[in-house]
Amino acid sequence: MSVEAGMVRTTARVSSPAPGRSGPSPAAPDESTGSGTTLLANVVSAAVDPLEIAASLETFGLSNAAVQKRFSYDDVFGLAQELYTMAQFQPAPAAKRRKVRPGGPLDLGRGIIFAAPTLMFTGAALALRSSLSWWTVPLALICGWAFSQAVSYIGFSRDSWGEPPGAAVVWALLAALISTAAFGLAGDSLLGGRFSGVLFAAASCGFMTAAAELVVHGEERMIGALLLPGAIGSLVFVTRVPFALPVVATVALSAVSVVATVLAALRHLPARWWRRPVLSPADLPTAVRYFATGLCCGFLVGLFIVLEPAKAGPHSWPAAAAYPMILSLGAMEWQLRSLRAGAADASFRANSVRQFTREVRKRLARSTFSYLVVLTVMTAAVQVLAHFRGVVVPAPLLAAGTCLALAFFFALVVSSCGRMELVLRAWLTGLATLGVWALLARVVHPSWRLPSANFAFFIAASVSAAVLALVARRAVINPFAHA
Amino acid sequence: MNITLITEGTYPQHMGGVSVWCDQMLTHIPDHSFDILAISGSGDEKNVWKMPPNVGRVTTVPLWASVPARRASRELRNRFMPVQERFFASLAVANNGAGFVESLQELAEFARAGELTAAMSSEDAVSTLMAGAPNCQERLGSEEHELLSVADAVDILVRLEHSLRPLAVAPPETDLCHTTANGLGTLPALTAKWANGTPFLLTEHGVYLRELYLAHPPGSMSQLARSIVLRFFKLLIETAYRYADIVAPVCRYNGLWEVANGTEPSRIRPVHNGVDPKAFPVATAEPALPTLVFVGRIDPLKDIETLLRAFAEVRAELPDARLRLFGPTPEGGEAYFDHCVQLSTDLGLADGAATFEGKISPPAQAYHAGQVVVLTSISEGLPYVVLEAMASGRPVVATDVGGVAEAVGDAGLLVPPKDPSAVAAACVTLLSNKRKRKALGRAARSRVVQHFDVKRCFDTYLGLYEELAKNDRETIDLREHVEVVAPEERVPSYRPAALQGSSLKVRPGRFVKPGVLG
Repeated sequence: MSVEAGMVRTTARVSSPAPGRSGPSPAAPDESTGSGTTLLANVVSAAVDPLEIAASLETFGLSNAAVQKRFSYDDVFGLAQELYTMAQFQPAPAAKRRKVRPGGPLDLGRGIIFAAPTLMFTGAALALRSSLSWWTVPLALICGWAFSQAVSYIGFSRDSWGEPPGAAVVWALLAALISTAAFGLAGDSLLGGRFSGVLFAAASCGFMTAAAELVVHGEERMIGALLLPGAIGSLVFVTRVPFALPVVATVALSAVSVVATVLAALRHLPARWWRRPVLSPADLPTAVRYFATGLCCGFLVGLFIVLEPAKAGPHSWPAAAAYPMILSLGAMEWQLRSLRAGAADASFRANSVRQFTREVRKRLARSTFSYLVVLTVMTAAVQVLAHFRGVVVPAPLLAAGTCLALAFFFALVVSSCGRMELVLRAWLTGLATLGVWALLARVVHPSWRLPSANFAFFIAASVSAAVLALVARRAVINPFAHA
Repeated sequence: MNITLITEGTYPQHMGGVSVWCDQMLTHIPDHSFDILAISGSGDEKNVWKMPPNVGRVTTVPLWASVPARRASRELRNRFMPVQERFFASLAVANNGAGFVESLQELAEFARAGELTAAMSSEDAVSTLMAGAPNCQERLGSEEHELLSVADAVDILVRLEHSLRPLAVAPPETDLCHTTANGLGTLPALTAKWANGTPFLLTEHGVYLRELYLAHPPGSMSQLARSIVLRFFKLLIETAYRYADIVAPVCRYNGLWEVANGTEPSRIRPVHNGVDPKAFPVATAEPALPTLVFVGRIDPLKDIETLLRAFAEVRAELPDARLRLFGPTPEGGEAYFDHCVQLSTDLGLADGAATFEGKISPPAQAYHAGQVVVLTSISEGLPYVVLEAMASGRPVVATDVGGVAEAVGDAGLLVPPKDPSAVAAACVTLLSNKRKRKALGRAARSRVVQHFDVKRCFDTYLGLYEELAKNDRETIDLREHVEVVAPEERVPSYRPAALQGSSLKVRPGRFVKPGVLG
């Protein structure tokens, strides 16, 4: 008879040592007999009832017949009962629990890797400035963010079942490229633009989707290495140090990074890659939620590019409002990991739900404060940089960027607790705020003196951040979120 | 007659002895129609068996499939609170299982409404479990061991919630429920019994409870968490034994465990497994080198470590000897496989002396590949490997566990489990004595033909089906007998340890003998 399905999964899930697999390490035969006796003694002293001892006795050859012959008991259960009654109770120490890695400087490195594409695409976008329309980069952000979220969810979900996580990547890449290209072409005909803009959007989207696949496989370092040509090219192009890099070379270096990343992701295709990935009934709706959340995030970040440029003068630097958030991605990751590790630790130490709740809320407050400090420092650094460059970062946009960064931090906390639907609702609430402003300003009462679009963006980001903060405070205290 | 065959972790998604038995039964009882209710792991598993034409519906109940996360509303939590209190109270040692069956019936209603997962994943459930946990262990240690951590409580609730998922299946509308094991597969059979009075036949290959204890050794979880999880399973298993109309173990030895867990001896009808002797022709030749053969899953229950250590001793006597292991590594068992391969290397057997050759088809080839077939399991029912090897005319060296002795009789050599030297000595005896080997092989073949013919096995089951079909049906709603008590009076023994007087604690030695629960 096999070890039953429930037992198999349980063992797989809780990462406690599987039966028999924690047994004696390879040893000489006589040693094994010695450790067997110890094992039997451990079972007798820690048995939950006499039948457990009986089960163990049988595995050591003390079956009914042997017990009757050697010990004059009626059956193995009689001997087990006797041992259970006589032996002193000595609970075995529980197996070492799985340690959750706390955050650390390593996460700052991951943050740099996640921020590097911004540098690469900024350079490429500036190089292609004359070819790109105002909607190109936001389109790339919206599609890329959405597909990368869906790919990483499906990948991690498959991986947790021991299935090849790469099964979805080829489909996601195709869908990402086709949909971005389709929207790009539609944008071209409706809003005006060039075909090179469509290519830029498709490439950006393909890169983000492929990079998500590499993250699933824990290949952040590879992403970093593959980004080097594009990122260095962009940096040289923007700063003109040590020389002025031609536009073609800048774009070519970025293209090299994108193609290499896509090829690296395709390495993970399973043998029968054309087969549709197997998804459980719950996977599809959750993947759709992740996709929708990616759409919202892409849209909100895209607003930094869309809102100001039309009016921005030569002394305005609106895109810099997003920099504090991008530069603090590593700190965000660090604090999230520290919070998760702290919560897991609290769940092992707390002997009541109240104690656990108190401890976890304290840790959430600590992580939020730490992140806020880093965010404030980054915001100040951006302001100082802007001052030295003699440009201005619009204050409402900078405030919106700060709120959005906080909202992203809380969104990460909530999604790590498995409550993606709440994250989605919070983003939609923020977008709804923006929608109401647009409706009032453009349709209902165009004559009203309503706050500027930048200010409305700040309000929307604040609403999302506030909602997510409240939700995070609730979600993080659910003990099941840290199982 | 329509029969619902309920499996757990075996047919039709996995290979192995129980699956072979299921396939044999479906093909040997063609006049009755069968529906299959398979309890599986993730639900992604593919069917690996071809269904005979008399199989109708195949329903899979995945225990570990992810379900959309849903939070319990306040209304649901309030409605579930008394149910969870009664359920956890029924696990308390002092209650001797009283109220367990009623709790299962109540939980089934929540499961069928799709509310059980959310209800059992709430902070309320954690608090209730933590409060009552200390009452669920018989032996008491220091204060430290009587407190459940939040992480432990979550772990227990997750295990219980997943284990209770088969309750979500509507009671099968069928003439008879036949489960291939005790355990979680009995939940749909029990609900059918309670709702429609459907007859319930329980076949037991390995003893579920025994294997459960072996799968959760001390140290695998905290002591208190282990007590609660094992107590739940023990009560469930006892309930199934109590409500099954007939318990049909595959060997008489299993019957001892069934009686120890409260089964009336009159309801126990051992039915030995059988094989088709024509499918396992007698081997006519032997390999040139002295060769031992193992056939089975690479699984801790098969105790491959003892086999490898024994073989190392055999090699010391017979340097040319080989060990060929045929059989798959089950999903999740890769770490054990790697451990065995490493052990083989450490014992100096990696030079081709011991080889892991995976699944082989047809299986008869495996038995023909060696002079002696070895089985070193620490727990078995009535293993097909032994019967098939005997049918092939090969002598068997097997550990004396479960029903192995009933199968082997005097046509093979029995050794104690976990004793490499004894296994080695028996193997050397047979490998170096051709006459004895031949004599045992002939006796083995003759024993299988006489006592373990597949036709005889399933004719017996056919008789049991007909016997059960004649019985009158009676529905059982135990909730009618539940006494309604005021909340403050509810389950008085079910209070946090800190609030209890020492008189409520059960000391070692006050064990209630299995079989008298409920």
